[in-house]
Amino acid sequence: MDSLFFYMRKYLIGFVLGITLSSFSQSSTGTRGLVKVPTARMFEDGTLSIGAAFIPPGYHKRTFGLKQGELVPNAGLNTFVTVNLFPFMEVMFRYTHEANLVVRPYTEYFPDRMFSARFKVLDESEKKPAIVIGLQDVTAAFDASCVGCSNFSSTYVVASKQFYFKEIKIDASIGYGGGLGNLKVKEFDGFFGGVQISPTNFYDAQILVDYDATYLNIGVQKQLFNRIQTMVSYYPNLQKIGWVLAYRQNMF
Amino acid sequence: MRNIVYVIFSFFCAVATAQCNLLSELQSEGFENLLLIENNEELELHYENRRYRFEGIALRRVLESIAELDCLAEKITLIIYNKGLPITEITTKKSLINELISGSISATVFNSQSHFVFTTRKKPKQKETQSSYLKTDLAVAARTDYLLGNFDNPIRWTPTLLPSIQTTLAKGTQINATYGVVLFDDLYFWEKSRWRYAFASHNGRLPGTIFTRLSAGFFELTQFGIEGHATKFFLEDKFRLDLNLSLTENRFLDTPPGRKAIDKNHLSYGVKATYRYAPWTTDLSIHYGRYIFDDTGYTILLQRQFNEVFIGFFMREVDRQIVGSFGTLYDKNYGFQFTAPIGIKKHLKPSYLRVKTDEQFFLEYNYTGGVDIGARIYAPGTVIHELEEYYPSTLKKALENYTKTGK
Repeated sequence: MDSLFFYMRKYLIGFVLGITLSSFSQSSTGTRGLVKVPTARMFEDGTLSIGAAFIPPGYHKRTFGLKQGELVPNAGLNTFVTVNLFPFMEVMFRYTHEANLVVRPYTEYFPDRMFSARFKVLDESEKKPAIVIGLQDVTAAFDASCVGCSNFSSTYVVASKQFYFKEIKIDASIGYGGGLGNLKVKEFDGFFGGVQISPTNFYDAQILVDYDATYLNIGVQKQLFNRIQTMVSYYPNLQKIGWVLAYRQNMF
Repeated sequence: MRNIVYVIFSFFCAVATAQCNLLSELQSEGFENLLLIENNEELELHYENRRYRFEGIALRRVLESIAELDCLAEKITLIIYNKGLPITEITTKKSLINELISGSISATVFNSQSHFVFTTRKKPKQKETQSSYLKTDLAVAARTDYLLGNFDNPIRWTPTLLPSIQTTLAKGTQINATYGVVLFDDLYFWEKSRWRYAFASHNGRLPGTIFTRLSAGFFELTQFGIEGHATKFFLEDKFRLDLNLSLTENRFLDTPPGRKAIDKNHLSYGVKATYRYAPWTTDLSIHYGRYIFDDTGYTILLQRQFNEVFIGFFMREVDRQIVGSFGTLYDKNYGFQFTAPIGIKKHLKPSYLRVKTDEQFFLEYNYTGGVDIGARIYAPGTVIHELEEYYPSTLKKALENYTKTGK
């Protein structure tokens, strides 16, 4: 009886992981990454991803007005379009919405726009990690938007290396973020990193754990119909539930 | 006994005819301006595609038809037309086509052993099978003009349905007309359903891979007048030089109430140099000129082509400041643009009046602001406007992708 229970539990866990995890993580910021932090991984050349990420109440950062930059009780929604424009370059355009607010003169609210570009400078090899340099929400540094409009600015370098621990595939990433010119860093300030764990028996199953330089986050994800990516996450510091839903297609 | 021999003879004749009847096969598939010239060991096939949305798919279909027949010459040259003009030429071997279609060789190998160029051939004097002339396409497109960044209204927009007709009258000569049905106007507050385009164009090809266009009529952005455009290629599609010139008046074809002409005898011009990095089908271009709303400046565009999808990022600077969100002034305008295929991949067969879906959706997003700068005359459906589909590098890449993905 114990044995039957053991197998039932094993397959139940396997089923849950199987339907909730996959091998193509896209972070809640819209770029390729873990729960929140970026990694040095990139999708295949020509991949287009359109999606949304739900930021739980209390973790969304206000992007306008007097409380700009502060966490607010309202939830947030990041809607993004991400494209692997070249084999070495990923670009992302995102609108950040705050729930329970309407765009009106009396609210002074308008969804935040941001643009990110990531460049792969080193491919992973047996001994070397993949390395990516990311420019997130830095258009103000190029006089393409106002400095006060940059709510998520960060310039970072991140490295990722894949290895096996017994039969478990682990993809570890570590990075460091800072400002760019007179543009202060507003996300990933300092060291960040995380791991993506894929048990061998569930080759398409992944558990994501990351530290975004402020909070610890954890998530699980799954790709459906080879097109739709879903991720459920617990953050910040494993307190609230967020999610990511994205549709992905190669344009070639 | 004599009847049995007759039946058997007839059967073998029918099989032999079917095997070698490439023209009938392509004709029944809906290809036009078909011409098959066979000399000794060489076969020359001229065709124009209006059945498939993308030239890469049409080429694949033609190669499949060739591979099905065993009686064709070994050396094969394909000449691809648009509006009755020969544009691109592919010289290859029958055995290579067979191997490509059967999967024995990759498209990369096929491409390296075949020769893709812009053709210098003239259209032969023989009469073509299934002419593309005097046939009309009726399509309906959709578009929306919009503006962001206002607290009164987060997204002001004017969605419009655009029924259009397009006819090729004769070799290189076409007419286009598009009517805009405004669903509602939340952006301009004066827009009405009215004509958007009504122009005639003559497309030509001069010696030395120079494509030309001369158009007259009414164009988008209320431009009424004439325009000319010339495109010259160097080193196949690696370098491209474009010159454009237009003389227009700013007025309507059917004026909405309360609107009137703004300027007359308006001259705009431009020169554009483009470098294409073929392995990534990526273009880097710079355009300098005087645009149609009297601004003078330049636009740098980096654009990647993914078969039918184009994604580009641009930077534009003109001799006036740009008003961005909340009235902020900028010197340069940054943004992106994309062209995506819409509708179905395979249209109905061309006929005297064919209903089809529109082929492409274009959107330009001005990140910084400045929607009224850098505007140029736009002549959709003309040969120069559609040239990227006929680039040797585009056709090669399309074959590689279809081999890889089977799409």
